[in-house]
Amino acid sequence: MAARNLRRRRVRSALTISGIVVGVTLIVALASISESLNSAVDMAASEMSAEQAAGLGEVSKSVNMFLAGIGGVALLIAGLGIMNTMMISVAERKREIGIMKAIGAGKRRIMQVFLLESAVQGMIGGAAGCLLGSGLTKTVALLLSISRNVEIDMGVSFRSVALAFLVALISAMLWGAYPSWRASSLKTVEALRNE
Amino acid sequence: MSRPLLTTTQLWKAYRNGKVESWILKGIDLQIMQGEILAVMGPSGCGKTTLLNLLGGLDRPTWGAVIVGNRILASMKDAELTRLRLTEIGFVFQAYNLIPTLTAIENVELPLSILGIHNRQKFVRASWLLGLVGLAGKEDHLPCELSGGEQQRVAIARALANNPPVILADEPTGNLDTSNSAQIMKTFSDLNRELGQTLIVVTHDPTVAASATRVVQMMDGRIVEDCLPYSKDVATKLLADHEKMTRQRAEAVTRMLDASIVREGSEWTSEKAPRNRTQAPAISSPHTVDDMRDFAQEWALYLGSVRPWLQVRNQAIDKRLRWGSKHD
Repeated sequence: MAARNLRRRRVRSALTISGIVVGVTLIVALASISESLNSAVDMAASEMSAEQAAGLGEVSKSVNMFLAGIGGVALLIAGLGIMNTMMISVAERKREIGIMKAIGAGKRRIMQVFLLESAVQGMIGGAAGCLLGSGLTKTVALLLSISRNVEIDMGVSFRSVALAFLVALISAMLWGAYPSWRASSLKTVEALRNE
Repeated sequence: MSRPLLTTTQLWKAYRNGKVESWILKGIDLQIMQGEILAVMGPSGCGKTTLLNLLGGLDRPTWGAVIVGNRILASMKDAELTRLRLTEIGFVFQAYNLIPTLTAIENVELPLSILGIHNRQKFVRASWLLGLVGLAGKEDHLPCELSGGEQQRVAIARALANNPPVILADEPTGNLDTSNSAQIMKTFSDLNRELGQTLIVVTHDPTVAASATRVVQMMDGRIVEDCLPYSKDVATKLLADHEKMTRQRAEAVTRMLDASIVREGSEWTSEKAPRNRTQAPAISSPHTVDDMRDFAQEWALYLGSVRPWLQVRNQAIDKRLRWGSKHD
């Protein structure tokens, strides 16, 4: 049912999903960058004096923070996109919600329907973002190594991909929670009256 | 036909619109027996739908109680009401209210899957129900691919899914033509006979009410008449009379207006009228006459449809005021 509802509002779902894709892509890329940066810093630090190493550590810390900040903002925007889509979807389907309630669907059931829809969007977006993100990272690494002639070890770790996917899924469900709750607590009669 | 299935005691319901409170139901006392087909009739806005919503636990009364079996709806929690709607009450609406993204059979399966019935059983029951309402072979059609009558029959099958003892129908034939209405009502009375379902039907159509076992007339939130239905012949005759009267009124008003326009027209063309004014009607009068005739016909139709109603209602109220209520 969730899949069919998403297909019915193809364009809007596609927009939301692409929002998530962009967010997850960024997260994957940034996580990979910061991972390789950290390992590089660690390697360099082992050949330096303690004082220099501390300074470098500070710098890498702030760079990490900055990257995390960008990732966070990307995720926030994607999340707001999900919430917007779900809110519109709830408003559009008031009548449908009314019907469901009239034939005996409880609050939990209606919440399930909408959460599932939001989760499916998160999953599709997350999966696509992971693929795109790892592709992007590899490409950047390749380009860097060709142009600068430096060997950069910038592998995409399974850990960062899994993390990005989970973050996408969980945040999709969190952002979808409020619209779903709104849907489930609509009054039956009022929802039915809605044309 | 023995024990009351649904009882309402002094049911009052108000809707608040800003600071204005309007009372939709003003003390409904009703006992509905098992196996009845009850038709609720009355002009728009008299509270029929509200009554139905209260009976079905979709809404809560401001005052009074609905008793289903031995339970009082007002004291039930929302979750319990939802459960009640799932297992004991089937709804059929005027606008069919199917879920547009689900096929016919999936719509019928919906209440079953909410109840947690297994896939295989669900499918078997849903296909049996669709066969029962005469839609075998259309299981995989979406609602938009079905005609109005077919959609309504899917809705009936859905209402029957969990085999509820009561079916509440809000103008089930309101959007359908005569032959489809007859078919729907036949389905209803077959169900009533074969499965023993109690039916409560809100309707405007006297021919629908004719297939009921009991007719309740409502007016301004009160029950003004509670009686056996008209027989089918009488209902058809009433409808025909009503249409005839409406037509006659329309014709009479049109004649009247035509006459008055001709009179005014002759004034305009008379010698006394200023020159420039003699020209004006010649250009505009065809339109004016047509417009006025249309207007008159509309107005006459309106009068014709409203007046007899009001008269009958007023008589009923007068009777009630004079003799007291037989429900008291």
